[in-house]
Amino acid sequence: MAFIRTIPPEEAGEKLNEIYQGEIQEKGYIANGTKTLSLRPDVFEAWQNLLKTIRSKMRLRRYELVTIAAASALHCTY
Amino acid sequence: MLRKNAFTAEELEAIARDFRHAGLSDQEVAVMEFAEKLTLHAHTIRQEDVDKLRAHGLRDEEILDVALAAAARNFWSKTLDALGTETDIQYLDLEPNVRKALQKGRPFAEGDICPFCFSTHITKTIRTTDGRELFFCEPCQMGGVLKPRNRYSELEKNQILEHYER
Repeated sequence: MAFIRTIPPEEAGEKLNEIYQGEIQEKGYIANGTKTLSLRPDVFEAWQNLLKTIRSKMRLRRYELVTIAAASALHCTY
Repeated sequence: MLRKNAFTAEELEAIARDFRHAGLSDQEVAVMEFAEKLTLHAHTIRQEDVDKLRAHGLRDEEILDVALAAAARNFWSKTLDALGTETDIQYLDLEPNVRKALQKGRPFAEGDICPFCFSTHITKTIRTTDGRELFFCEPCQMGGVLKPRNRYSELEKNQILEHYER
């Protein structure tokens, strides 16, 4: 799953549980990337807020093109 | 994190393969080139690179947003890659040719995708006595590593196993 320890849903504390439940409601599953950050749910939350704020002024199409360009240059499939 | 909202599967495949020849507008290609350069070698970006985006009609606020979004993706990808995060199985809902074009780095989760037909069906994993794992893809009957383009009968599957156990 990951090179570091991750917290399974049944052991999640209050904030992490909120994050996990939110993902299940929104997408139907918990993303592996979310689990990777599960030791720092506060950082994950701040990151999500940052991303949401950046995206708020961008058209979805441009945001996705930028994401594809960066991910492709990084050789990242995630 | 890729969403298919803004693009059809065909568009996404073409863009992932070569965004410069994917039918995008000149402005869109310029935006992607900027994001690519930021990712690969941000320190080489000059005023001219930014002016090019302005010439394509981007306001400075929009240029900032492009840089922020590209850098955000770098932050996320680097963190996940460095910590060995596997791609979510749910990405396998993408059409096979799209997935193939996107599959540039870490492979998708092993055992859940056929490396030959990119089937979304779970491939059957066979563990050899020395602990190695082989897959067999039930839908395409491709038996992996040894003869990737051949189809294997039950007999051949056993022969492959024997080969691996030798």
